[in-house]
Formats: sequence, C-alpha cells, structure tokens
Amino acid sequence: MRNINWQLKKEVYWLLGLVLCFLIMKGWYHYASLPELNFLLFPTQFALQLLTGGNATYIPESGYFFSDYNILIDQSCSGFNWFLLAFLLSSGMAIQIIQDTRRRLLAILGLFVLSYGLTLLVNTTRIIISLSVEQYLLEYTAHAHLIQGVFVYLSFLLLWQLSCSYFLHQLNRNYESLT
Amino acid sequence: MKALLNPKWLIIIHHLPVIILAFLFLGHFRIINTLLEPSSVQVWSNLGVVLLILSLAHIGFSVFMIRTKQQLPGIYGLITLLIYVPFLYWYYAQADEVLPRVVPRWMANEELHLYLGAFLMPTLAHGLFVMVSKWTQAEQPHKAWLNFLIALGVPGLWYLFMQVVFPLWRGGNSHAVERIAIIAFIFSTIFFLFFLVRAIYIMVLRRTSLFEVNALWWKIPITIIFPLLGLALNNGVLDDSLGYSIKMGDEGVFGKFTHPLFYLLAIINGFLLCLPDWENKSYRLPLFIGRAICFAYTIYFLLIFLPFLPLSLIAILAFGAGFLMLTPLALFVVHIDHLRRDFRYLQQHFSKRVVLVMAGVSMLLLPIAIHVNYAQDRRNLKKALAYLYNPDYDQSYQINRKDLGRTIGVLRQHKKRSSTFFMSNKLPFLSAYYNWLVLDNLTLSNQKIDKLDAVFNGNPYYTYPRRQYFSADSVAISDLSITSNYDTHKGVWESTVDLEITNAGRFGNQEYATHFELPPACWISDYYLYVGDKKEPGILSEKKAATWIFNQIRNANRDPGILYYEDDQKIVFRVFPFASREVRKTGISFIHPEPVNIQFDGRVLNLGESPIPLSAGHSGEDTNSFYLSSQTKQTLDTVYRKPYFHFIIDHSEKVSDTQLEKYFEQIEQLKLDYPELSNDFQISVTNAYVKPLSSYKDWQSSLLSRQKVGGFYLEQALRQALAKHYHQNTDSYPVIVVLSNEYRSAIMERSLAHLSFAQAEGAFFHHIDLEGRHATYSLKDTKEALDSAIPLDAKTPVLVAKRGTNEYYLPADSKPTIAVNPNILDLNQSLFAKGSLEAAIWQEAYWKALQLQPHRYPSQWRQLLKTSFESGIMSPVSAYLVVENEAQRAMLRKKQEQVLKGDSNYDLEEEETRRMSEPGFWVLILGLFLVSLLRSIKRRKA
Repeated sequence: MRNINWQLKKEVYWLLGLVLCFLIMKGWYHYASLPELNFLLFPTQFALQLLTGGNATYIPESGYFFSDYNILIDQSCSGFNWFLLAFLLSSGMAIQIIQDTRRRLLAILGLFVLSYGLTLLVNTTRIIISLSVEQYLLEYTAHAHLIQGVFVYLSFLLLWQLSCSYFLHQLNRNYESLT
Repeated sequence: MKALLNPKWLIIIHHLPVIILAFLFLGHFRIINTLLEPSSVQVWSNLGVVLLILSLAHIGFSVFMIRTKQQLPGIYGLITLLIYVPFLYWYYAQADEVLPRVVPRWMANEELHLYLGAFLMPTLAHGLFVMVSKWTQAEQPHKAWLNFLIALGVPGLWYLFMQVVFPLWRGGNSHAVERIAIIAFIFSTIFFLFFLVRAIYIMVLRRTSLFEVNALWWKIPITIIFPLLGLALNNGVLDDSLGYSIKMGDEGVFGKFTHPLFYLLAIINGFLLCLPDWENKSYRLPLFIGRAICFAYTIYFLLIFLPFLPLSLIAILAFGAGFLMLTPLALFVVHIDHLRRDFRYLQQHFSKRVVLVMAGVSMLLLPIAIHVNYAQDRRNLKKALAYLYNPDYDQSYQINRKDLGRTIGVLRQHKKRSSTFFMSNKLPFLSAYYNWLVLDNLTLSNQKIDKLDAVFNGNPYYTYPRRQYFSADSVAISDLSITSNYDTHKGVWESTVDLEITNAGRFGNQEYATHFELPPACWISDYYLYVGDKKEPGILSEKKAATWIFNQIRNANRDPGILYYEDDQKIVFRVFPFASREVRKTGISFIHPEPVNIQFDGRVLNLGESPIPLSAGHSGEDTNSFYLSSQTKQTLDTVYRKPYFHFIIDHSEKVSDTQLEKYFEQIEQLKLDYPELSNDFQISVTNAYVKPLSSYKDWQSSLLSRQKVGGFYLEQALRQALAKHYHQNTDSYPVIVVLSNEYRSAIMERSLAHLSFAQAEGAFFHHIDLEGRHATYSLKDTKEALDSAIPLDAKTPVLVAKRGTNEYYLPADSKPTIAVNPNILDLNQSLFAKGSLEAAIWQEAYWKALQLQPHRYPSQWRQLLKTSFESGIMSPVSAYLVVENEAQRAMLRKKQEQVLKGDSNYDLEEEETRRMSEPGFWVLILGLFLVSLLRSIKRRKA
C-alpha cells in the first residue's frame, strides 16, 4: 500500500514538472520574438518554398513573405501551439506508461525531439492545405481558415496520441520481458 | 422636454434622416438592381412606396402643425410608434429579400439594414418623448416611484415568464407563438421605456418634492456614476469584478471609448449637472455655458445608444449591468431639463436672442474642436504625403513630427479591422467623419503609413516584394495567333494577339496570370475576353478602381479579366476563373510604330514585319516630345558627357558624428582617386529631408552642425538628383554615390524603374559603406546589388538628338526611344484620334514628365487618364478590365468616381497579406476535450 502511495506521489511530481514545463514554455512563447521562433519558422518556410515552388523573403519584424501567394509566415504561424500540445500529451502518456525513471526521462527527451520534427511536418501540411482549400471555396474567411487549421491539427494530434500509446506500450512490454 | 413638442423638430428628427435614407437606398438599388430577382425588386418597390407614403403623410402633418402654430399632441407620439415599429418589423422580416444571396458580399452594403433602424430611431424616440411630455402635466400629481415600479415590472414580468411559463409550455403553433412573443416583446419594451422616461421626467419636474431636496441622490448616479460605469464596462475595465466581458482585444460593443477625455468629459458633465441652480446670474451664466458645451457629449451618446434602445430590455434580462444602456437616455432627459431651467432664468436678465446665441455657440464648441482637430490631421497628412509622393524640389518642407506621429497612430487605429461583426474599435459617427474629412472616404495603404513613420520618425521600413501572379499548373495557352496590320494613315502597326487558354486539370476555379514586359514604343490599345459565348470588350478605367473591382470579383470567384501596368513597362495580365477542362478566349491589341518582339509566358510574340514602312520615322514634334525609331537613332551623334560626383550622405538620426567624419574622409579619398569627377562635385545631405550642399570649403563643419531628422530617405534624394540632372540637360552627368553604413535601412521602394529614362548613361547608382566596400544598384531593383560593381569612372557614350534649340541625350542602344521634354505639362493638349501614335507618345511623355515634376501630379494626372480614355491606349494610371454584368460595371463607375474625387495619394482598400495563423492553444484543448468526450460516449454505448 505504502509502495503504491509512493508511486502515485512520484507520478504527481512528474506531472507537476510537466505543468511547470508547460508554464515556462507558454510564458516564453508569449514574449518570444521572430528570431527566437526561427527554429520553427525557418524550416517551415523552407519546406513551403520547396513544396510550393514559391519564393519567401525575410522581412525583419514581419516574417517570411511569400509574394506568390501574398501570405506572411510570422510568430502566429510558427506551430508552437501544436508542438507544445504534442509534447505535453506524449510526455503525460510516457509518465503513465513507463515506470523506470531513467527510461521515462529518456522517453520524454526523445518525444521532445520527435514532437519538434512532427510540428514542422504538421504545420507545413496545414499551410499547404489552407492554400489549396482557399481556391475551391467561394469565400475563404478567417473562420474557414481557423476551422481548417483545427481540423488538421486535431487529426494529427489524435494520430500522434494513438501512435505514442502503441509504441510506448510496446517499448514497455519489450523492456519488461527483457528484465 | 416641452420644447420637443414644437413640430419644427420633425424637420431634423424625421424629414432629414428619411431623405438621407432614401438617397442611400436608391444609390444602392441602382448598383444591385440588375442582379435582383423579380420578387426582390417587388420587395424593394413595396418598401419604397410604403416609406414614401409614410414620409409624405408625416411631412404633410408637420407642415399643417407648423402653419397652424400648434404643439404636437400626445396621440402623435403613440401613432408614430404604432406605425413605424410595425414598419421596421415588416422590413426586417424580409431583409433577406432586400439583400439576397445573389448579391455578392463586396457589393451588398449590409449596413443598409442598420441604417433603417438608426435613421428611424430618432423619430421613435421623439414620439416617446412627446407622449411622456404631453401626458405628464407638471400641475398634476404624479408619482415618480410608481412609474419606476411599473417600468421595473416589465423586465420582472418577462423574467418570471421565462422562468415559469416557458419551461411549462407544451408546443402549439410554434411559428405563431414566436411572432406573438416578438411583438409582445417590442411593445413591452416601448411600455418599459415610456414609464422609465416618465419617471425621470417627473423627478426633474419636481422642485419642492423629496426628489428636488435630495436631488443629488439620484443625480450623481445618473449623471456621473452610470456614465463612468458604462464607459468602464464597454472598455473592459470592469471585466474582473463582473465576471464577464463585453470587450474583445481593444474593441468594445459600442465602440472604442478608451481615450481619457471620454472619462474626463463624463465627470465634468455630471459635475455641472449636479451643481445647484442658484438664482445668481453671474453664477448661472457660466454654468449654462458649461452645460451647453457638454450637451454635445450627451447627444453623442444618446445617438449611439438610440438604435440599441429596443435591446435594452434584453440586455437587462441577460446581464445585470444592461441597465447602463439606458443611461444616455436618462442623462439626456436630465440635461435638457437643466438647460431649459437655465434658459428660463437667464431670459430674465438677458435678451432671448443673446441667450440663444450663447447656447448655440456653446453647443457647437465640442463639435468644432473635434473638427479643428481632424482638419489639423488632414493638413498634417496631406503635407507629409505631398512631401513623400508629390514633392516640389524647389520648395523647403518642414513637417511637425509630433502631430504627424499622432495622425499616424489614429490612421493605424482606423485601419484595424473589428474581430467580429458586433465589435468595433472605432468611434461611432466620429470615425466615419474622420474618414470623410481626412481621407476623402478612401484609405492609406499600410505601406504608405509605414513609409511616413519611417521617414519622419526613423522607424524601420521594409518593402514587401512585389506580388507575383502565376497561373495554376493546369492552365496554359493552348492556341495563339497574331494578326498585324500596318495603318499607313496612323503610321503605326496594329497587332492583335488572340489567345486560347485551357484548364486541362480536373479542378475548377483556376486562374491564368502572367507578367510580361512591353518593349519600348509599344502600347496596349485594346483587350477582350469571352464571358460564356459573348465577346466582352475591355473597359478602360482608372487603375486603382479597376484592380479593386478585380480583386473583389476574384474573391467571389466570378468572371473578370484585367491588364495593367505594374511597373514602368511591366504588365500584369490575369483571367479568372477556369472551370475544369474549360477553354477560354481572350485577346490583347497593341500599337507599335515598328516591329517588336514581346516575351510572353515563355513564348516570343513577333508583332509586325520588317522592313519598316518608310513613313515610320519620328512623330510628335508639336508636343516637344517625340518618338525616335531605332533606325533614326543610328544616324544620331555619339558623345561622352563629363561625369561629376553627386554624393548622397546618410544623415539620419542613427548616424553618429564619428560616422559622418568617416564619410568626409571617404569623400576626400574619392576626390583624390578620381580627380576628373571631383571638380564640381555635389552633396545631398539626406535624412527625412534632402538638403543640397554646394562644394564650398567648410561644408564638413556645416554638415556636423545640422540637425538630424528621421530616417535616411534615399529615394527622395535619388529622385531629386535625377530630376535635377534631367532638367539641367547639360553636357555633364552625375555619378551618384550613396555614403551610408546601413544601406538596408535606407527608405526606398524596391523599384525606381520609371525614372530610368532620366539618366541616359545608365539607370544605376553606387553605394560605398564605411569599410569602403563598393556596390552598384540598378534603379530597377534597388534592394539587390549587381553581381559586379560598375567602376565609378566607367565611360558610357550617349546619343544626342536635336529639335529646335533643344538637345536630348538618349541611351546609345538600338531600341526606339521617346524623347521627353518636361515642358509637355505646360502645353495645351490637342485631341487625339482613337489608337493614334501621337496619343501614345503624348501619354508616355506626359507620364514621364510627371515623374520629373511630381508636385504637378495631383492636379494633372486626371488629364493623363482623360487622354487614355479618349485614345483607348492604356497608361500607367489606367487599366483594361472585363467584367461580367451591369452591376459590376455600375460598381466600377462608383469606385472610379470615388478615386477621381479623392486625393491621388489615397488608396482603396488593399488586398491584405494573409497570416497563416495556427489555431490558438485553448481552442485546440477544447477540440481535444470534445473529441475525448465523444470517444468516451461512444465507448460507453458500445
């Protein structure tokens, strides 16, 4: 009983750490400038250039401007929200599934890197879909853009959640069978 | 309130608003009528007839009452309400037929629905006041508390009804019940407002009663606390304490009243109304004047809230703080009563006329102050824009930067769009007035606002790259044919390029777009596009209006085609939309005195044939500007002009004196290295302003003592140097060298190609930084340096053409050229035949002369447009547009008229650069939560 309590207590600490992590990341994002978000923006705009054939011009204090489409990729388009959610969601699952501290830490680090890579993919996909969809709608309003964005983000988030759940359980099972 | 019984009030309260309303509706109907179904046209005509009958009856009644010198009876108020309320209900019940879905959103002014309510609301409010005033006689004993009780009983009853009766309701004819409920609600609102206004009126009528003795108990809340609370609630100050918000971002439901003056005026107004009415004329006179000055404030908020009065009951039921919506109405009743009392008292000591004049002047004081303030903004803006875009190089400018900074702030605020349709970041009425007075109902593009800010305040300026238009992958030219005929009478080739464009893809709504460059001495003289089976001719129209219309139609996925000058000789050509597998036909006509080749969408179009007919030579001598064919140019003399340095020194706020001293050293070094360029060197000291410095001895110390103002406005210095050089027209030419350490921070458009003709030796300039690095930039792309710098002492030959006493220096190349005499702007323009070479030469020379004398542009650009319309030849101020229907043509005419009336520097709403924003974090959390909820429900069910 005592052991279970301790185990639960330990998990609470981990989850509190995750909440702290969220607060720090969210706080940082709130004040982040354009160059500070370049770790997300630069690869995204690069991928967009490759995939659409458009040219981007970096305009300091504004963002990456695609004159072909008359769009701007700035702080609000960085994909940070998805990154944060994907990382928190997967880390929460790792804490639940993996019991061993060292392996849990390693998994969280790995999920951080994976979430980052996936963010670039998801965000680029969202923008490309948005550019394609607007051609076929009578009026592409801000609301349509938001709905499309939510749809793409949530779809990928659910996929990510399912994949994480599967692989983390698989990893855990493998480890337990080894030990 | 007795004064409101005078029937003359009806002229202002009813007749004038109804006339304006009729014009607004009629103007809109003229544009959209061709799009309306017969049923909608019937609704429009029914509405028009009913409103006409009502208005004529109303006018007839008021004329009768004025002539018989009678006061308005109480029954007038009741009848007015009984007629106009059902009329409004009837209108809104069929609002969808007034502006049906077939009318595109950009064409349908949805504010029309609001106008009707807003313009008729004063009549309704006046009717209410007449009823209250007439049926509340001062001599009869009335109980204010009883009226209050009855008024409060209305929301109370509704609340009970909603809590008790609605939940127990078991169906019935829901549509009929709904209608009955709406009508009951409307009439109970009138009932509620009647008793509320009556209660306040009784309170202000009583002089000796409890209300008068303890007047401050109710006056302070109505005149000070409620107005302040209302402002605070609207501006979001009370959000935390109330637990809800009616504000989003910096927007409020009723407008953006965050300026401290609104609070200050609310306090002053309330304070003046709370002061006792002592019978002392030297006390009452300033009090009366103060109250009259603040009356404009009370009226302003009454006008804003009038259209919302019918919603007051809902607001009270929905939010506790909804009663604050009634504050302006109560304040108005109190205010007008105090003015009446002051007026009566002062009449005993001064003549009625003097008191009336004092009241009139005082009441106008606040509106006049606002007007003066806005007029000042207009002056600041016009002056600053004139300096930026239409400078007179012989004139010295001094712009008040503080005032301009404030104006820029207001402009930015006005440009912000409301996040939702019911929120506003503007000031009701005042923003519209500002837009009309300061901006001629047009707007200023973000790029221009940024440029003003950069030039005068030294803030960074980034030019967005010019937007590239390109065709969808599946859309391409499937057939192309060229017909060229030489018109010996006009001395010009007339070529038509017929295009067949096909969308081979499976998707519809695709666009064809391309950019192409017109060769020298080649102009567009006609355009057509097939819309369905009908060949629609291009309409030559003003460029801003045409591009605006195109973008609106393009966004609504309808059928436009457009052709216009993007930059110098560069043309944009767009056709939209293409359905899947659709083939569309379009064509462009050109005139050109000699055969030309055009690079067009990856093909070369050969227009005209060699040899050139003999008659093709030079033309247009009568305008002093003329065309020189490539053959004629071969016969001209070649000369080398004498170069001299023209230094442009960065003297902006960011440049230190140490940096300036380094520039001096560099200039001295350049003078030593290139003595042949240094004899008559010139210097333009450039910050927000461009000041020439002669090559006198102590120029260095003179420069150090000058004040640095704003940013490095290199564009102005370049324009000025090139224009001056062209005007001087001597055997020497400037080698322009920009001395600046941060070339990127120079304020300049990406292309100055339209000034390329001003320097025959080559359209470029040099830049040298503090390290001595040398780069050359072309006027066609001022942001990217040429691959290798051109030597400062490069020798470039030019050709000399002589006409009378004038000499023209032209580029030594094999291309035809138009020699431009800037005096063309002073010559009387003769009439040109349609598609004539003379007209084309005149237009090009006129446009180029305007580039050299930009201060003449505002007064003379319309002349260029007029000639373009007459000749059918497209110019940089016009565009060829094909639209689909008569409604679009009507809208084009309206927009064109708006642009022609306004300042040439103002713009129509621009096509906004879109941000590809991701969904917010909490939106995603909510989405995830909903998905999880759905999944768990599904699992449970399973």
